Amino acid sequence: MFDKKCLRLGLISMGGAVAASFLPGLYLYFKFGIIPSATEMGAICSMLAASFLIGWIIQPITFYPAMGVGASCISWTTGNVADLRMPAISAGQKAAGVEAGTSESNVLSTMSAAISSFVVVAILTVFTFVGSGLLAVLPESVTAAFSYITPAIFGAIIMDYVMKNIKYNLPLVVAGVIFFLIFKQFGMSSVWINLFVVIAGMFVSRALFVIYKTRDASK
Amino acid sequence: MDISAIQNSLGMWLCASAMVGIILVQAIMYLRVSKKEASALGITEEQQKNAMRSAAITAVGPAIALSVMLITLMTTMGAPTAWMRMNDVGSGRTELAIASMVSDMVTAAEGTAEWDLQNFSYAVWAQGIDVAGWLIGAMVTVILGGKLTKTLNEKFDAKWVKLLMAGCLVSLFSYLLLNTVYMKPSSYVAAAGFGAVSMFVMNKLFSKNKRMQELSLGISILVGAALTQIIF
Repeated sequence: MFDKKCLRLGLISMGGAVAASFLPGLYLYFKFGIIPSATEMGAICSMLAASFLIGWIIQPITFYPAMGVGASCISWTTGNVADLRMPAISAGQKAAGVEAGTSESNVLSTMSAAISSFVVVAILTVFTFVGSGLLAVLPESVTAAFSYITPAIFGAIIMDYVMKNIKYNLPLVVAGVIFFLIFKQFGMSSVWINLFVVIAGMFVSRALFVIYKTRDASK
Repeated sequence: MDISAIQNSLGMWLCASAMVGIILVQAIMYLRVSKKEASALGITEEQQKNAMRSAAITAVGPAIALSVMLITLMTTMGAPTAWMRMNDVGSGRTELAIASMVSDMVTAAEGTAEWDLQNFSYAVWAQGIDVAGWLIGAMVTVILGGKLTKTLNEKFDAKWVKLLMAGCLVSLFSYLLLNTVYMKPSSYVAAAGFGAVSMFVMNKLFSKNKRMQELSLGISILVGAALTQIIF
């Protein structure tokens, strides 16, 4: 029921966002009469499709099992899915003390993603208006440290998961590293590697489940 | 008319506000629905508050990091477009790349005001299509994904499905971590290491302290990034 509500809400709001996405282009057309011709529009579309089509299709699928419906809809409307929404979701679930993969965690993912939207809009709006001044005041050593935020996030989250459930999560991380390196050797692009690491992880978690179950049964 | 005047005109602000408005309304609606569902599931008011506070704190660091990109995008695309695209699914780096990709198509004489306007119009259209692509891809996923989850739950042991979902989260983050540090300068690896170590320390030292647990990810990020910057 909750997922159904989230789906309806998501389709409506994302449909609205698709429309809003074209407003600036339409505005320039109506105000200045300038717009790419049909052939140029076709060229733009094929150029974008060549670079991003696989991402448009594969990325939402890759993140879906970890996020659920509600958080997926919010995250793919607002972007920064990997380096902002996922950490916020993971932190929210941790703080509430719910297990991942349950209906409780699904609800909290949605709640955490929604909250992160407010934070991002607020901060970006402040920076849009006073940003250049604010950034100029910060010493360069501080702004340079921004680029280390993303690896620090992922390192911390992995450590947290491993500590929480070492029996399952440590083998999963190790398997992730191995598969990542193997897929890299094949020269796959990162979008595909991402998907295949997650899929390979599904088999690993199935194998772990079976192994631990038989071990417990034999005890 | 000067291009930056057009880029920063009221009309552009209104268009950008429509997108940001949708994002805010969406967040409010989801918050309402999920709060209701959380109470129905027996998640206490306190747990909800903790989750929201922790999610908010964790989002602050990455959001500030985005603002560097925002400023860069503002200089080329104007404030309203930069504000809109950084808030929506268009990422700063991609939007910059798209803007330069379309400039080859512009037919007006280079260096003229027409060139500027045409270039801006093409960039804005291309960004619109890119964002629509992400949204539509995600819409298809959530429509099909719901059916898939239902089948999984019906066909398999519920306990395993739960582990599978949780496992996907771990695999996903394993990939994200590797992709961030693979073939990058050693300082990136160090940042990931420092983040991991500070999380380890926080979990060990403050395992009983709820407030610190909530802050642990936010703090680990800052400690990790700061230590890396100091040492490298």
